[in-house]
Amino acid sequence: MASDATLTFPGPCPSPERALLTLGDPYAAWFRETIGVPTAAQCQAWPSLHRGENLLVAAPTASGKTLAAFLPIIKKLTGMTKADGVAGAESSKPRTLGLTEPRPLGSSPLPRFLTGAALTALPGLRTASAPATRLACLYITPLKALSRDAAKNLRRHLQELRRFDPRLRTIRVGLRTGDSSAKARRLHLERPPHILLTTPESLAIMLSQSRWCDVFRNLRWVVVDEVHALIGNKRGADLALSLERLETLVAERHPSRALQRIGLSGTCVPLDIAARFLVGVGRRCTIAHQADRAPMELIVEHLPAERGDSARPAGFMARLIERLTPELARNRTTLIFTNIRSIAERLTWVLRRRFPSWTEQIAVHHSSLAVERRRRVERRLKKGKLRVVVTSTSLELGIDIGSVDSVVFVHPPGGVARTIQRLGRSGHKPGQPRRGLFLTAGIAELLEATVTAASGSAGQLEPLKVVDEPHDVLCQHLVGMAMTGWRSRSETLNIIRRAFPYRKLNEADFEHCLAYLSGKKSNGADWLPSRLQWRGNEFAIINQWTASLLRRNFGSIINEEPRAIRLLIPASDNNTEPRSLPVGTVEEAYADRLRPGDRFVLDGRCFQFRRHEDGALLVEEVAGSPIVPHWTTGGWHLAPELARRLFVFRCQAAEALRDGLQAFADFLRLEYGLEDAGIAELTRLFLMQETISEIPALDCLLIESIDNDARQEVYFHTPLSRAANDAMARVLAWRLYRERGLEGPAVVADLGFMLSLPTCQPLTPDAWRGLLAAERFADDLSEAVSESPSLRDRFARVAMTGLMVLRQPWGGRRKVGGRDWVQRRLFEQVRHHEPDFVLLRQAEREVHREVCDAPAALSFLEALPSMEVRFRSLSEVSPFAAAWTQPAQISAELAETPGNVLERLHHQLVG
Amino acid sequence: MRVFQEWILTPWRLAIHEPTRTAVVADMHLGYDLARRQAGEAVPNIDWDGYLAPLHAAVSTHDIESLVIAGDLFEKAFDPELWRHLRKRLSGMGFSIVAIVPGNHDRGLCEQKKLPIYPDGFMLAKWTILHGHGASQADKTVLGHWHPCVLRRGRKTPCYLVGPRRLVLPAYSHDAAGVNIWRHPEWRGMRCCAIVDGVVIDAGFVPGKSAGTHATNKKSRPWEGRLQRS
Repeated sequence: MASDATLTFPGPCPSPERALLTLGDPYAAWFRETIGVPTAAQCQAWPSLHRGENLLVAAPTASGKTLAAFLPIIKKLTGMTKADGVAGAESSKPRTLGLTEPRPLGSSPLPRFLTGAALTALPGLRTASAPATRLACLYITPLKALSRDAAKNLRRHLQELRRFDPRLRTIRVGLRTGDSSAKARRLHLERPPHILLTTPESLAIMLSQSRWCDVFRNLRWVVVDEVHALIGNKRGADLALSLERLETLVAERHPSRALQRIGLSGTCVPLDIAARFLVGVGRRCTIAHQADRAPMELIVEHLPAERGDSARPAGFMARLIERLTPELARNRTTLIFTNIRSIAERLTWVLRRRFPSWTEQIAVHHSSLAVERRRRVERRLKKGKLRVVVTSTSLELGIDIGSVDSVVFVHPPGGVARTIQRLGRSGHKPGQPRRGLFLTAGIAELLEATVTAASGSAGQLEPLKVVDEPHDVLCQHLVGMAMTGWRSRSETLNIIRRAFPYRKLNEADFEHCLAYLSGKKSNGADWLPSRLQWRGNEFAIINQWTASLLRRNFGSIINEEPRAIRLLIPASDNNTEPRSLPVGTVEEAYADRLRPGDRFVLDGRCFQFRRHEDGALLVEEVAGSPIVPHWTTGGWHLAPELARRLFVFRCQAAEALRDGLQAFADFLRLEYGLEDAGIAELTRLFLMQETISEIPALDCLLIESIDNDARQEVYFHTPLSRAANDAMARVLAWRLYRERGLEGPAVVADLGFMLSLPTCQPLTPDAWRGLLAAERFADDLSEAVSESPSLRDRFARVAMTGLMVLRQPWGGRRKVGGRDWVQRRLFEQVRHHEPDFVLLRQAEREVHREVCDAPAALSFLEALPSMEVRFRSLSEVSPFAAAWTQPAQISAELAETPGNVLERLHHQLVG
Repeated sequence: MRVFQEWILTPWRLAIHEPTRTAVVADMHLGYDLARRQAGEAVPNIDWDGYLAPLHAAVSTHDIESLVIAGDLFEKAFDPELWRHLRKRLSGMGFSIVAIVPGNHDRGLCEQKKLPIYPDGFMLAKWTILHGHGASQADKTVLGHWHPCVLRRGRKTPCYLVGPRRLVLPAYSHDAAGVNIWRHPEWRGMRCCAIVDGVVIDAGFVPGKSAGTHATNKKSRPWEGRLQRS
C-alpha cells in the first residue's frame, strides 16, 4: 500500500504585500480596492496554491477562506490556453443553446435498456462527446444552501473582477444540487461551466454517469468546503471515495496531472487528520492555519427553581422567558440554540405570545420545516429583519447569516467544537467579539456549561475522528463505478484504498461487498438479486434499468420517514381553487396518533389537523393552545473528552472543598468565572454528596446501591460519556442475567449508569470487579445487542445506504410492510440466511462504535484492576446520581421479561 | 382464547371455527418478497417453511380440516406459480381450501374459475367471512383487511378485535405491518386481544372518544402518557 500523506506546514506567514504579489495584477489591485488587506489565511494560502500544492486552510469563520481558495484558481483559469478549453480561449460571442444547435457527436441519448455487454462500447462514445468548454474546478460543500450561497458570492466577486480583467466574462459558474432542475442538469452536461458547485451526494450521482466522467477528466482543482463537518460521518467516506474516483479519471486522460485539492475548514483539531482525509493516501498537503484569536465572551447563568419563593415563576420555560426578556431587548438579533426541535418550537410559541409586537420578528428554524420556510428565515435573518431566531441545530453550519449580536444556548450543546461552531454565528465579521450565553436548567447542566465555557475559552476542542471504512458506502461506490463500464477487481481495490477512510480496507471485506452486490452468500450460493454482472475478473452493472434506479437512491443521509404538513389556503372570492402550502414535517409515528381536531405547534404557529390527503396532513392555522410534536432525536450527549473533563473538574472541586468553603468558592469563581448563584448551588450539591456518599475520585469506581421494597438500584459513577456507559451497562446487565439470573432495566447517562435489579444478596466489590472484567467484553457486547432495537435500526439504515432496500423503489413503496419492515422482517431473514452478511456486520460495528462507545468502555475496564472499587449502600439516591443518572430516560430495551411486557401492555390498554 | 363460544383465537394469527373445524386466515400477502424484488430491492426469496410454520402449528395442535382465506391472498395479483406451490404445501398439511374471498390486493383472482372464489363473502355457519375493504350488510362477520395492531414502544403488536357480532383478524403475513387501532374510530369499544410472546391476552377495550382540543386531549386519551413513557 502507498505511504500515508506527507504534511507540510508553511514557514512564517508571508506579508500581505508578498501574498498579493503572488496573485499579481489585476487581482491584487481588485483585492486592495474592494477588500483591503488579506487575512493571515489568505497570505498563507495564495503562495502555496500558486505553487500547485494541495492545501488545507483551517481558519475561523469570516477569515476569507473562500477567496483564499478561489482567487488563485480564477487567475489560473484566465491564463489557460485555448487547448485547455477555458476562459480566454472560448469565444466571447454569446452561444445560443437550443434545439436548432447541432448536437455534439455521441451525445445522443443512449438506448434506455443498455445491457452490460453494450457498455463496453461506451469509452468510444465518450471520447467523441468532448464538451465545448471544460470544467476546471469543482467546489463541494456539505449543504445545498451553502452551495447556493457560495455560488452567489462567487458570481458577485467575478462580476466585480470583470472590471479589472475582461477575460473573466467567459468564466461561468454552475450549481448542481439535489434541487437542480432536469433542464439545468442537461445544460451543465452540454456546456459545462468552468466552476461547478455541488454536494457530495450530487457528485456521486454525476460520477456514475459516463458523460459526466468525461467532463471530469479535465478537472484541475477540487475545493472542499467545511471539511471538518464531513470527516466524522459517512458523507465524508462517500466524498473521499468520490475524490479518488475523480483523481483516477483525470489521470486517465492526463497521466502527468494530479488534481489540486483544497480544503477549507473551520477551527478543528487535529489538523493532520483533516489534511490526510482531504488528500488521501500517498500525497502531500500543506496546511495553512490561522488561529482563532477573535475575542470570545462566554457567560454561564443558572436558572434554578426558586425554593419557597412563590413570586418567581416555577417552570424552566417561564424562568427562561424572564431571563431572555432583557437579553432580547439589548440585542438587535439574538440566535437561540435549543439542541432539539420540540424545545425550539415550544420556545418560539411562548416567545411570540410573550412579545406579541415582535411576532413577525421571531422565527424558528429547524430541519423539519419546509425548505421554503427555512430559506425565508435565512433571507430575513441576513437582511437583519429578525430579532430572534430559535433553532435546534440547523443554523449551526451554513450560510453567512449576517449580524447576530448574541448566541444563547438553552441547555449546553454537549461539546466544545459545537459550542465554538455555534458561537461563530455571532459577530460574523473579523475581529468582532463573539458573545455566548449559556442558560442552564439543572445542576448537571450548570457544571457542564461551566466546563464547556472554560474549555471553549482555552480552545480545547474535541479531536476529529474519521469514520472507519463504512462498507455500505463502499457498496454504493462499487455500484456507481460499475455503472460507467467494466472494472477490474484489483484496480478498483487500489482506487478505494487511496481514500483515507478506506486505507486499511482488507481484501476479504472488499470481496464480501462484491459478493453481496453479485447476489451471493459468502459460500458462493445465490440468495439475492444481483446488481453486477461479471466477465472474468471484471464487473459492470447488470443492466441500465438497475443503474438508473440505484442512482436515484444514492446518498448516506437517512431521515426518519416524515409526513408532510400542508397548510390549507381557502379559495378566495374570485373562483380560485383551494390549495395548500408546505409548512414542514412530523414523524410518521406522531402523525399516526393525530386525530382530526388535534392542535399542534409547528413553525411557531398553532395548527389544527383536518384530514389526510395524498400522504400529507392538511391543517388550518387556528388560535388556541397547541401541543408540541415529538421528533426522535439522538439527544445531545457529552463528547467523551468533555465527560472526562467534567469528571476531573468534580475531583478538583472536591479537593478545594476539603480546604474549606472559601477555597471551594474561590476555585469556582476564579478558575471558572462562576457567579454567586451558581456557586451556592454547587456548594450545596458537593456538600450533600460528601455527606450522603462521597465524591468519586479519578482512580476509583464508586458503586452506590439503594434497596427499595422489591428491587435494588445500583449506580455506577464513571468518567465516561453516555455511549461508553451504554456499552458497559449492556455488558453488565447481560453478564448479571447470564451468570446470576438477575435481570432488570438500565438507565444510561453521561458520567454514570444505573441498573435496577431484583433484591438479592448484595454483591461484594470483588464480585462487581469480576462482572466488570475486560476479558470477552466485545463478545459479550455483541451478544447483548444481538436482539436490540438499536441493532435493528442501524441495520435498516445500513441496508438503505448499501442499496439493499431503496428509498425510492420502482413504482413506489410497498405500503403493506410499513416503515419498520426492514427492522422487523428483513433483519430476521438476513440473520437466518447469512449471519456473516457484510451489511449486518457493518450495523454491528456501528452499534459498537457509535451507539455504544465500546473502545472507551473497554479501556476503562482494562484500567479497572489498578483502580479501587468502592461500594456504598445508601438509604437514598446520592445527589450526583440524582443530578446525572436519574434524569436520563429509561433505556427500556435492556432485558424485559415476557411477564413485564404482558403486564405493561395490559395496563396501557385498560388503564 | 375462546370468543363467541365457537371461535378460538390462536397465537398463529388465525382463528378457528370449532364447530366446523375450519381455520380462517386473512391477509397472507403471498409474493410480498417478489413485489419488493420487482421494485428493485435486493431482498431474499420467500422461506416457505417459515411462512407456513404458523399454519403447521395450528393444524398440529387443533382439529382442523378446512381453510377459508379471507382476502388478500396475494400481495399484488394472482400468481399461478405461487398458488400452485401454496396449494401443494397446504394439502400436504391436511388442509382443504374451501373458500377464498378476494381482497383488494388480489387482482385477477376473481377470473380464476377453477378456484372456490366467493366475491360476496363466504357463509360459515351463521358467520359471513369477508375481506372487509367494502361495505357489508351482513349480521355476524369475520373480517381481515385492517391488520389491527397495538402500538408498543413504537413497534406494532398484532391483535384480534372482538366486537358485538364482529371479529377482525390480524394479518397472517409477518410482512404486513399492521394498523394502529387508535387511529380508527370504528374500533372504539371493541375488545382487543393481543398476541404477546406466543400468547393471546385479553388487553381490554379500545378506549376513548375523539379529542378536539389540547384541553381535552389528555383527558380523552389516558393511555397517551403511558405510551409515551413506555
